[in-house]
Amino acid sequence: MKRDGGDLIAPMSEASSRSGEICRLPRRDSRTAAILAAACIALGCAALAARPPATIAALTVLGAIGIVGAIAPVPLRREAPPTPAGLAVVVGVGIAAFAAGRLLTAPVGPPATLVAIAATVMAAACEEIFFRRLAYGWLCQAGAIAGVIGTAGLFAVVHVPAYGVRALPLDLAAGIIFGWQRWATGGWLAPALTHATANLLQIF
Amino acid sequence: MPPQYRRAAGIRVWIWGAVAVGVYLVAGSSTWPQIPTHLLYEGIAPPLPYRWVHPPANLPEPNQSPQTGQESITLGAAGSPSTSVVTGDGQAGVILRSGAIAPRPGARAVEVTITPLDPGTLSPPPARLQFDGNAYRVEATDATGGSVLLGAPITVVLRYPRHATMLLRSTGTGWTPLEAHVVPGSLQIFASTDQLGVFIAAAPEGATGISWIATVAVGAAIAGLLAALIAFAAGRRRRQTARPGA
Repeated sequence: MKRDGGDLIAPMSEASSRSGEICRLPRRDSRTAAILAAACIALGCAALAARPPATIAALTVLGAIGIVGAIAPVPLRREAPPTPAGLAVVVGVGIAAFAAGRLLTAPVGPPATLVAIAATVMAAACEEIFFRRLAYGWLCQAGAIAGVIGTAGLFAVVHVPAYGVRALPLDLAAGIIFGWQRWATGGWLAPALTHATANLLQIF
Repeated sequence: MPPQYRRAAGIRVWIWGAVAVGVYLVAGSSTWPQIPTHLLYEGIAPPLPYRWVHPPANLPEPNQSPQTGQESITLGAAGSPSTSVVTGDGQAGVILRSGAIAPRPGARAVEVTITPLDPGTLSPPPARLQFDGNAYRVEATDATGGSVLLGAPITVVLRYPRHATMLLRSTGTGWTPLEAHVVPGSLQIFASTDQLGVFIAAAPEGATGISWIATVAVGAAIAGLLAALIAFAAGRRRRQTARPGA
């Protein structure tokens, strides 16, 4: 959000930025912040794409990405927080879409374990903090559509090594739903809840 | 924001929401039927240990016997309905689309069975290939015990223990490769086939996967963490200097 040659930067979480922790940056500082954010996003995406599937290393990468997404500053957007009912409806729409998609498939796979359930919920939260807080926070400087499509594109591409090019359209479309939820609610909680539920729908 | 603009913005949000859901359902209807595996948006949970018929000597933990899969499929006027048969441990499965087993005079149901086999008892792998995991026999019989032919292709899905890149079908005296798709996220490989029989995952001889990729991934994550910490510290310093009287 440009203001008189400087940026408003939300240094911590969106919640804390809403409480008024805003600083107006000189142009040089805002450039430094943007470069560091670009480095965080690029390195995070590289780590997610390269994570060896189904290993402890993959869990470590996810945890680190979640921390990156949580602590890296993002530009502040003055977004009204959603009402609880609005949040519930947006989450409900997302979950309904994934539940309908789940009816189209009968996946073959190993039975669910507690570790798999915990890991998939953690992964959803970490990825959403990274993509829908950090990446969206910077990409939406060019507009909400750029934020939604840009984060969906990154989300889809980092999953190609694990699921192949065939899954790319589906991951891109899932990313668009998560991005829409981020835009509609002004936070990453709705996409995180939907993402975790979508993953659990796959397991069961 | 004046109420009429707020209402218009709200309508715009829901229109875009409907577009997003529509895009997902269109993508899903074309993609899901092609991907018969658990397509989580991340494949990070360490997998359950592979169950071997004949475990390798260097197995780090006790082996459990692999399980079979069996399902009685009722035949309708159009043959078999759309269904799947999976082994109890999820290591192998077949997906039958509607009519995959054609209707047979006098037959009301067929029994589809998936049985794990020791690949050491079968034909050796083709040159420069090695097997990766158990072989699985997929067969279908009717009430008379007679074998059943397929009316349409089925999809065979196998989990592999290490790094399979191919799915082979036994010809009796050797193996023929199928056009397979690997899903490393769930350590699964699948292919469409127009014949039942014995199937096994395989990889080029000596293939060990990419051992350095974990180092690259963790290294990139740590570098990203450092960049985030620097950005965090810089932002904190800026806030302190921006405070009045600081």
